[in-house]
Amino acid sequence: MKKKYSCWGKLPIIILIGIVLLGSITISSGAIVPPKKKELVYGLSLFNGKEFASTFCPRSADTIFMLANVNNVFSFKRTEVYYWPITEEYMADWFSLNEDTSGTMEILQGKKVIKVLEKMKHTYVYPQGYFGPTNLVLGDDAEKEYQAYKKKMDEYWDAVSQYYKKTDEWRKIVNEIVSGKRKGKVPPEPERPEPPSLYVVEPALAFILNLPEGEYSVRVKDEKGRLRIGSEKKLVAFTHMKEGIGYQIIPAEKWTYPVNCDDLRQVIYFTDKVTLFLKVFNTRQYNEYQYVKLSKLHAPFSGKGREYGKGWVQLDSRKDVLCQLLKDGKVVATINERPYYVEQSPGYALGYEIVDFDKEKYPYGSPTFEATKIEVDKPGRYEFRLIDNKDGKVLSPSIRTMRAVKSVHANFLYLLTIFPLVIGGAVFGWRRSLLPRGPR
Amino acid sequence: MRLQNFVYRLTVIKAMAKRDLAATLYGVGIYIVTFGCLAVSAFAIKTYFIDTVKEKAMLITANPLGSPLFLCVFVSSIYLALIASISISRERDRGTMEVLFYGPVDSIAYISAKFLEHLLCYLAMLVIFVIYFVVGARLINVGVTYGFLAGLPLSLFLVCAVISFGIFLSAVTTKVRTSILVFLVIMLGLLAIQIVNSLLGGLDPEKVTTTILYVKSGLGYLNRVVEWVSPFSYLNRGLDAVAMGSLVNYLMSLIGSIIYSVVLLTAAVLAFDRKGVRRL
Repeated sequence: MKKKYSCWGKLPIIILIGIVLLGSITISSGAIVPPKKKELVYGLSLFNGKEFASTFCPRSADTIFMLANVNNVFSFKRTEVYYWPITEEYMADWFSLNEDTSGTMEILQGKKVIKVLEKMKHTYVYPQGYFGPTNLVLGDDAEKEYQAYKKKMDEYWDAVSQYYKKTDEWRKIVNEIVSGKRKGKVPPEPERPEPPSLYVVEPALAFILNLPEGEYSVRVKDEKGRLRIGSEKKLVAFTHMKEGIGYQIIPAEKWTYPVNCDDLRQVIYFTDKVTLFLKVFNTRQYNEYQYVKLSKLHAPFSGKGREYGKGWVQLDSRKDVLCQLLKDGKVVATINERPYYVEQSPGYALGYEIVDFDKEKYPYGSPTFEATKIEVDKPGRYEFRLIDNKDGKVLSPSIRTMRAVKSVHANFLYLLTIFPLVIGGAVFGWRRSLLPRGPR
Repeated sequence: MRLQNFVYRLTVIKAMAKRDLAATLYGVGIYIVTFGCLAVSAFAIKTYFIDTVKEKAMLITANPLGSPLFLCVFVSSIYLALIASISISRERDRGTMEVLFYGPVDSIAYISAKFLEHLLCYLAMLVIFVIYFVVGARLINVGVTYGFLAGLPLSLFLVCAVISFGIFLSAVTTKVRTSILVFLVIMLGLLAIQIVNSLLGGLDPEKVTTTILYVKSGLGYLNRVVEWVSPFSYLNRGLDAVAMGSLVNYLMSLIGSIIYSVVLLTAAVLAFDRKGVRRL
């Protein structure tokens, strides 16, 4: 008898597969909106040795980390906080709610209040533009700086409007000359005014903390002396463990891939010859966890596992030094920093050449980078180090070793691997020789 | 009386370890595995160090021999744990263990002897590794660094942990085949979790689907357990400590390996006492 085909028996399985597929599509569509909660949090602008890093202290974080003996900016604000699971960090929606709280901040060591801080006017000054170094200016000077900046900007905008007026007049003259209504030479085009590089943020009020190294706690109290809920936090003011000199090394063959060399133990390996460009920096070694928390306090997993780690941070660049190249312990060259220009090869051939920057050759260009050029073209054991420009003293943390890898011997490494087999063979032969020999 | 027992047990451990060590050293397995370890590390040095230097024109590193040494330690420790596991199961399976236990051998002496024998085997292998790396480093003009030297004692403690793991598994299993299978499945499982977790950890969270994020999160929790269970986590922690230059972390990983080994060896002794030494 012929069996009749029916799919009804498999219906539960089909439904189950459907549910699983639908579920996975819903999950992968990412339609998850994290709930926002109104919270009082510390908004932090902490100096990290180079610049001011912004973060905030969510309710779940109980310790704030900051550098000792430098000014750090704390504010206690109401905002909307949510957890963003994709990047595993808390986010503050300052645009939807940014409400400052009044009161004073108390700093405690143990249970003793050692300082009571009032809010202070402050501003950030960027003398070389927004991407340059930052200065924190406090008190009345903050207002003065801001007013000076505003004045400069007003002057600039005046100059710009003058420029447009002059340009219109110049165009009119040019048109008249072209159409033959006016005789004479075309006058020079008016010069566009340069905007000021200075940038100053509008002053604001905040608590300014500058504490020696140690462990503290902080809290904020309102005008009536009542504790503001959520403001009690531990505070760790830490400092660097070591100071050193670090390098950013640009290999001539891959100039877009610079590598940092901050630790004395790091060795620079190369093959037969190499050309390197060195940029020199002052460096400081910090506890990795504390340093990461300085700018990532809002990410609960940041710095995890690095509690005892040490990491170097490159700070300001050094210009007051000369570089010495040594071969087998003897100085073979003393080199100073120079500007270099990366010249792209013309035509369809891809490539470039790093040449000395020549202002006459590139009147409108600027150097690609400034660095100390080191050229090594013979195998051997090399070292480079820095000496002070003024007194010629060797800066010991600047010494780095360079080794030329003998790549031609690489295959001998495979040959060496038979060493244990030789030992095994010898043991086997020795054991065999101990066996009693039978009659032939 | 207690001291006399201790000395007596020590003599038994010494005699058994010596006998087993001689058997291993007179065999060919250990030499072939050592050759394998060195071949893998030679490949790693050639591919990941020398070829990278050639390709990128330069390479900055504080410990170029660290990873090749880790490969040697990894392969040799797996081998030692496996033969520890096999030898115990085989002796039980063949009835040798029962005969031994009729004599002056007890479970503590037996487990300790097995542990000591394999540790000594590793020391013999380590001597060959060190000779190879020192000669090889001179050949290609690479320095034997602080990181490499710090890795040597660390490797010893890791091997202790892995051998203990193998001994513990063989104590709870009865047949040779079962103990090999269980050992391989657990080892590969633990390694797979750690590798997949580190691979997912390297993905940009903004560029993966939510499903992957859930898998990543789940594996993250699982990995927290694995970090305590897997003997290789102890070596990872130690190597991280060397790279970070953290003496505290380094010592903590050594102490962690010792505690791990002691716990597993004690568990193996208890399992022995509970299961008995007769063929099942």
